[in-house]
Amino acid sequence: MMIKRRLHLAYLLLVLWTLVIGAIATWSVADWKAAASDMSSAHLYSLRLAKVRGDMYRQVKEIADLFSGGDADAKEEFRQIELGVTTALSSLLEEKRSAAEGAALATLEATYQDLVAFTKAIFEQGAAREDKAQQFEEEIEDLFFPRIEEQIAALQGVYHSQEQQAITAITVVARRTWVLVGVITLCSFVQGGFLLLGLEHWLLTPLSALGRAAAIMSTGNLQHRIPIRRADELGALAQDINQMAASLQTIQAQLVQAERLATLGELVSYIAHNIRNPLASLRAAAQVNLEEGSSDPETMVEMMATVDRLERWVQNLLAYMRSVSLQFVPLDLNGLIEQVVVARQPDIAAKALQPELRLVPLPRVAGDASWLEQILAALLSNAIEASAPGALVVMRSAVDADRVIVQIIDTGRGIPRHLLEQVLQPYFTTKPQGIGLGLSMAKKIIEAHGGTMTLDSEEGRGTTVTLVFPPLQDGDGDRHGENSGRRG
Amino acid sequence: MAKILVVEDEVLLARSIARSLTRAGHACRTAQSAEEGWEILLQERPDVVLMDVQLAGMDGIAFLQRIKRYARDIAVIIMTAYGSAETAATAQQAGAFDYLTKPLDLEVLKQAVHRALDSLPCT
Repeated sequence: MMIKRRLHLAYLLLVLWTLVIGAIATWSVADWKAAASDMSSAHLYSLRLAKVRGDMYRQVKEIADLFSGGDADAKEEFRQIELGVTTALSSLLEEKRSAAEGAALATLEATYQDLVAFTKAIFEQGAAREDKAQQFEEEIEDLFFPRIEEQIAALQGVYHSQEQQAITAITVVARRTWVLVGVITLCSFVQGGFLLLGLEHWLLTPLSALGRAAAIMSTGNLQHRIPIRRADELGALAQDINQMAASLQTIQAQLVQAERLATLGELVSYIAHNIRNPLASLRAAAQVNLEEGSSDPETMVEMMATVDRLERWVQNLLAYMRSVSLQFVPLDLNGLIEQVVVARQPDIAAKALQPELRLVPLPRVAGDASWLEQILAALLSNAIEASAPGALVVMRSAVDADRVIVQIIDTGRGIPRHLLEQVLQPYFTTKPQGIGLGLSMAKKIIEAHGGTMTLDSEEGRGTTVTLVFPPLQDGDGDRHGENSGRRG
Repeated sequence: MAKILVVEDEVLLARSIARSLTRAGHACRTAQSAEEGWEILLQERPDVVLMDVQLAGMDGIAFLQRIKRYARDIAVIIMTAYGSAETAATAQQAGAFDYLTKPLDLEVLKQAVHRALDSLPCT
């Protein structure tokens, strides 16, 4: 499945999950609101019933006032209170929420109607009489008050029960909400975990693998290929990178071919130059002898020396034209340095130089022992040659960030600034017998080891040649390098 | 008689040229490097300089430019074993009077020297 589709799916799941959470929250809030409303209503009805009860007793008090004090307004007040109580009871009855509540209210209303009828009958009897007062109070207390109290208590019980039910419902809603919050939190963690695992599995891991492959390719290993195990965008990207590496390999091969052709052109020009110079000497010497009609022995000797020099130069050139084949094995460069110093001991002793080995324990490097020994020997020879008698020559080894460093340091005549860049170029030499390929070739062979060779020099103060090698990698040691055609 | 300086690191060639030119009646000095040639040039102020385009110590074209900056009326003849049109063009742009390729015929060289001397302003 493509990563884009997976991301869409994850987005859809997130939206669905959010909708579920929203629905659950709405449901809980609605339940809580209904329960709270029920509780509030039950309490309110209870208060209204209490007021009705108060009004009933006040109504009875009005009758008592009529009998005892002859209150002229008592009758009218009685009617007002009756109207209020009747309306309140009717209202409560209309708003009843259960059959039991309705039955209790109906019973209370009927009792009240009986009370009203009874009291109205008292009023109808005309003038208030004190002898009736006692009878009225007793009848009210015996007949109505117990019934009214009992029925109101029953109703209060109904309302209290409703209130308790509402409280229970609120408690249930609260508990359910806590459980749901817990479940949602847990599910969110699980979902987040799956999302992270998915990102790790589908994006981060393959991206890291691509990064590692790109890093390997950037070191020049264009044969490296990324295994294609996926059919998504990253699989396509890996395929593109592989194709890019293949294209780069082709371009690199073309460049190498072009460089070879260019180098070949330089080589032909260089050979022509180095042959024409002695030929020019020979021709001019012969011509001048001819002009003078003499056969000067000194000139003859010089002509022979020139021919011999040309021959030596051709021999050197042929030696360097052999193809270079590198056999990589794990090497301890300190050992090579020590061997080279021992081998050059006669030259060192001849100039009474002070050789100094500043060696530290080195990790092994993948290298061709024979070539590296030759290069170290040649660099040490250069240092010896450039040094004044008795001077210091240092062979140093070091490790810096896993890289192995070897330095050959002399305090000799140094290289003039304007020649510093040229000495590593092919065909540059300051030696009469030199063919100018030694340092450039050494540099190329060190580079074939994955390393670098740099020169730091100051005229009159000495030269430091620094060789840097990469650390030994898995699989090194059985590599084979071929610099086909010729050296350099 | 003209004063001629030969700057050439091929000792046998330099000496043969010098012998041939001396025999033709000129005063000839030789040098193996640009530095040595420059010292002699300052001392002797030659009429013509014959020089290799590739010298130890200094690029021949740079040496030619240095000579021309010092004295425009010194004729410089370049000798080279490379024989490329590019080198010839560079040398002539830098002010060389002539350009000879090695191995060279001493007669051709002497003719070039005479042409160079003829081209110099009368003093």
